[in-house]
Amino acid sequence: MLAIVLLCRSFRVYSINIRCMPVFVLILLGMSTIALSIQAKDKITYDPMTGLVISENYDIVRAHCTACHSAKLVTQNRMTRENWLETIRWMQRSQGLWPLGAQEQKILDYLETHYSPIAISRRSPIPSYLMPVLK
Amino acid sequence: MSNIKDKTNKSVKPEKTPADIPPLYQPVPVNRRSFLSSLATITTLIGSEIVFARFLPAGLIPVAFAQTSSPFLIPGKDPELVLLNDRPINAETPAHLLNDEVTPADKLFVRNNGIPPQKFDIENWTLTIEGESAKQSKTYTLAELKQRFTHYTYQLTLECGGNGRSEFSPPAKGNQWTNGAVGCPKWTGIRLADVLKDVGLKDDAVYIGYYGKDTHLSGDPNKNPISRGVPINKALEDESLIAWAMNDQDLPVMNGYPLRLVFGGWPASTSGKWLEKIVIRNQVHDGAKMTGTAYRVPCKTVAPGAKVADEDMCIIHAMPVKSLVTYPKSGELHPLAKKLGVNGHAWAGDKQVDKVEVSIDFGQTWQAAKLTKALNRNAWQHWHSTLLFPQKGYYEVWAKATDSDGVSQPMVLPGWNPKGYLNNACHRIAVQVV
Repeated sequence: MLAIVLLCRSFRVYSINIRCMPVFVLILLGMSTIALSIQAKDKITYDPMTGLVISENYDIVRAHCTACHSAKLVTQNRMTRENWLETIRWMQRSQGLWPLGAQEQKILDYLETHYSPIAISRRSPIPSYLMPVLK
Repeated sequence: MSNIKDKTNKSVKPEKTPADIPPLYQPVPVNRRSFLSSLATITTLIGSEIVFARFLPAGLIPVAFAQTSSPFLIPGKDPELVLLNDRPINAETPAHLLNDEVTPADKLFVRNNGIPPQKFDIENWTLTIEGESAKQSKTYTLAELKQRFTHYTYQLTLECGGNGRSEFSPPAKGNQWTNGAVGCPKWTGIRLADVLKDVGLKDDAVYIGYYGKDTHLSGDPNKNPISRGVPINKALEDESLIAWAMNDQDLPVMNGYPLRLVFGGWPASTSGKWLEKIVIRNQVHDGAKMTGTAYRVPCKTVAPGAKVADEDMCIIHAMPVKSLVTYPKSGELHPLAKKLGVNGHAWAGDKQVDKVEVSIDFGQTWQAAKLTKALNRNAWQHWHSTLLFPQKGYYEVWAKATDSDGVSQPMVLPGWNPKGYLNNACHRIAVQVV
């Protein structure tokens, strides 16, 4: 922070102060974005047993969702909250899933937070693991 | 597991406790935990969850799923198959491992809907044919089937209806197959038609349905994991087999040992595994995964992400025209001065492939590949071509097949559908010319 202020002061010698403001704001924004992304990255931990993201309501999800099937059925999918609910209803209708009671909303909160769709194009590039690696 | 804490830190008992769950599905013992924590260490070492998950080799099945005390391979399968799901086991074959003209048994994908049978009493394995449109109910032992009916061998393409699902946007739920849920081994068995005629078909027969010895994931013995079938005209075709051998060996356990149906060119889910019963129906078979949205696409095309009512979904019949580049492996570094030989396979459901073309300029120009004839109906065909690159750089080799009706593969994703079936977009591999 001090360095940025000093940098701005040194700019002041050559330019008017107002030109320094966007630079200052940009640097601050950049720093906070980096800080946030580092924080977010640090925050995501995965349960080594199931591969599920460990966060609020994770234990409920693990208990209900892996009693019958692999957690991979959750972790390899991405759905809207509505579609996750539909899937739960389908499992209750035809696959023997029990009523989830008050925990249903918590399960949906968790799934929506961690396993929502990611926007992609009509056709994505060839995935990185199939790309040439130049030495 | 029985003591889940909610936000108020009170113990919340799940409505179904582990004690209610059959023993096979009990929470996992120490073995799996220690196995998976060593996987976690590997994950840490390579530094990426996603890459790791993608490449969890099929050979490393967490022990708890096997009900054994040590890690094991998927029986009869190449450890390089990529595991998509471990309960039930689903694994696909990377495109470059499908280069053989006849797919070796260890390189055929695994698509399970339930838990395969654990014990096989071959002496007492029987197949029963019955149903509203059967003139009688008849049961055959495995030995009787082999003795009484003429044997036939065909090379038949099996492809999962959801092969390519991973590319759909918005995403479709289910196993996220890339390209590898397809293969074309040589199958030996008897004609389904011969057995159906031996039992006797009533005039009102329209469909057959199968039942296998696999069990439902929930452990409920009254539920079938899957019970699909085909219209009677497909069932009566010469190439529709009740098979016991793949490439002159017993079927691999994961592919239906000791007996299965094989309907080449149709969604592989119609080719029931661990076969113990066939019903001849006077209506479209209504077994598990025949109804609702399973193995169905919108009868009329819809916009991506659209909601489609069950009654507007139609059963998938033959699979669409498609091809694979099986050599070289995507990611190849290739010297500019040398020609590059590329090859692969092409197939078209119940039709033939008339033409395969390849492009190295993102579909702007195409050159015809050499294409073989199919060994028999419903077998894939092989193509090859030689490429010369104009200069160094990044290239993609695209392959496009055209069927006998002039229908070819799209370059982008075909019609979006809620369950992500029938993605026959052209296969692409990356080549860096150096």
